[in-house]
Amino acid sequence: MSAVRDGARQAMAWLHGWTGLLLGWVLFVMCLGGTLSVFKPEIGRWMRPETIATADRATALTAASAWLGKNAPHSFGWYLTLPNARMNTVEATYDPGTGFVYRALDPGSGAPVPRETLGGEFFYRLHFELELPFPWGRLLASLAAMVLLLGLITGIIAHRRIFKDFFTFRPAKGQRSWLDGHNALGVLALPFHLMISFTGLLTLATLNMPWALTANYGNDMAAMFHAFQPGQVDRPAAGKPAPLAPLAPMLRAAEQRLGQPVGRVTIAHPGDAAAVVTMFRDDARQIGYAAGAVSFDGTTGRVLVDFTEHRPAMQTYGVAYGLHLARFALLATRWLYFLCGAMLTMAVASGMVLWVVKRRERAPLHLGNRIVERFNAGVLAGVPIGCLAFLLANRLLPLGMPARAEAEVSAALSSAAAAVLLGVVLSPRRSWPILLAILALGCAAAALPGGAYADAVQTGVSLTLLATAGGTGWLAWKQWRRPAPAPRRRTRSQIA
Amino acid sequence: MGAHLRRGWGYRANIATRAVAGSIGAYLVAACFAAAAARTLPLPRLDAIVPATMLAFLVAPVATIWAFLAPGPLRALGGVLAAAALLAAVAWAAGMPAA
Repeated sequence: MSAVRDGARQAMAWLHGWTGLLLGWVLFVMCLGGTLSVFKPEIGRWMRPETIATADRATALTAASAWLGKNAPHSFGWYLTLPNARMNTVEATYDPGTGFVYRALDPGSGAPVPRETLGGEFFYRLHFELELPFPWGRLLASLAAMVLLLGLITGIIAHRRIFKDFFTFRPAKGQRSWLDGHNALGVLALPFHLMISFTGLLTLATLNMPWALTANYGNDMAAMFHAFQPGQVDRPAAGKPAPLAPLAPMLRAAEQRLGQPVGRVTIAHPGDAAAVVTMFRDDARQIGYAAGAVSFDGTTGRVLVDFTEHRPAMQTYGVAYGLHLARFALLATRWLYFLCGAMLTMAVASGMVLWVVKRRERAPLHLGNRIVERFNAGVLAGVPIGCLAFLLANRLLPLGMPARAEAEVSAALSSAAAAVLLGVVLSPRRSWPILLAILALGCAAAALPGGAYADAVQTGVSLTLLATAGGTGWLAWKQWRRPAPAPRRRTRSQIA
Repeated sequence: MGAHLRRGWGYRANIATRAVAGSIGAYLVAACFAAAAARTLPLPRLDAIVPATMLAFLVAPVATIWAFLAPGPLRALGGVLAAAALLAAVAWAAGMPAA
């Protein structure tokens, strides 16, 4: 090994460590949120246990538009996801006059379901908006995704024996074990990690890398919009009221033209003479995202545009986008996404812990690293506690309370904040087992049946929660019984 | 960046310069690359955007890594800025494609 190559490897290890430290906690939130989002529809169903009614797409769409016509007639648009094999409700984003809200609508009545909740949408938004206002959340997420991609590449370069280390795990050896674990988690699903960070960057490319777009289109937004979404029609409201034509015939016509079921429907300017209804092909039927769409004149039901994506470059983009969203994935693939995402989350977490452990074994930690150590406990245990508080609030808050969905989010954020505070105040030797025990107990409590009715989704979520409870409970127990950590010799000699 | 050098203001200035080159500088290179590639790839103007943007996401980490491997901090900063300027010049020379 030449000195130059060793030096380069060291520089990459240094870069890997510092960039990871800089955005590690943000990445942890993103990875956890993204991992949970794989099961966004299933989490939604788990969080609405009373709503078991099902209806076909046409019935659900008609009911939803009837309810929205009465309750959100002046919304700029209605954005609907129709029921499918994974989700029995209509997911609707609309403006009832007080700003846009997200609600699950009953497929039969079209009204919001009694247990008002964001459901899986909370984790989905958390994943790339981080509970921050637009565009700051997405920009921070973009920056973190760039750091993740950089961290993966520098991690590979810094790695001396990538193949051999893959089969190496030396447990209960402090820094060595954390390094082995971090490496294994990173390497085992490396292709997934590279794919997900790269495609994740692409999903926000119009925000974080718009320069190719502006280089070729300048400020010609209309041309840009048309080139990107040839299946959509962007036209201003006429200002003249006109009733919306029945949607069921449009749905039938769209599915016939697309040759596939419709997944999403948007209605622009509902109740206006210039209303436009756009129906998108279901993303579950192919890897590519938004692979086709049909737009209708909202008042006459006449087809305005019928488009299926065949342009190679845009298909490539759609496939990259679809690979990230994983809406195409069947059950086994979904679990693979979930497990790989969990490994990436744990790789990030173990990297943050490793930063501290590595320095603690060499010398007593200085102030900066003691702060990192305490925030590690607070954030790495506290963010999952916040996610869990969201699930528990869903079970505990009374039905029909005003702003119930927002209260669930408040419960999540305040619990996470409280946990971070606890991590900062208590010594890490105590905060880790206490926070992990809270997490384990919370998971076990959330796993209790939410209603008399239990289907495969309810059972699956409960079992996953129980497994998490077991794992974190075991970790909490190990942490509680752990002897005083390094620097052992130094401390002992100081005491003696 | 050996351990023996990790002290003092010289080392800090070295790291700070490389950090600027590796963050803002690397993004600048990627952005200029995206613009240059979008205008010069032999593809219709919409189609060229996709590979240009995708490659830009790979150019960024490569530029960051290079900023920390370059022989000296000023070389790192100068190199990154020179690459960005060169790519910007290519994009400017190519001009905006007609519809």
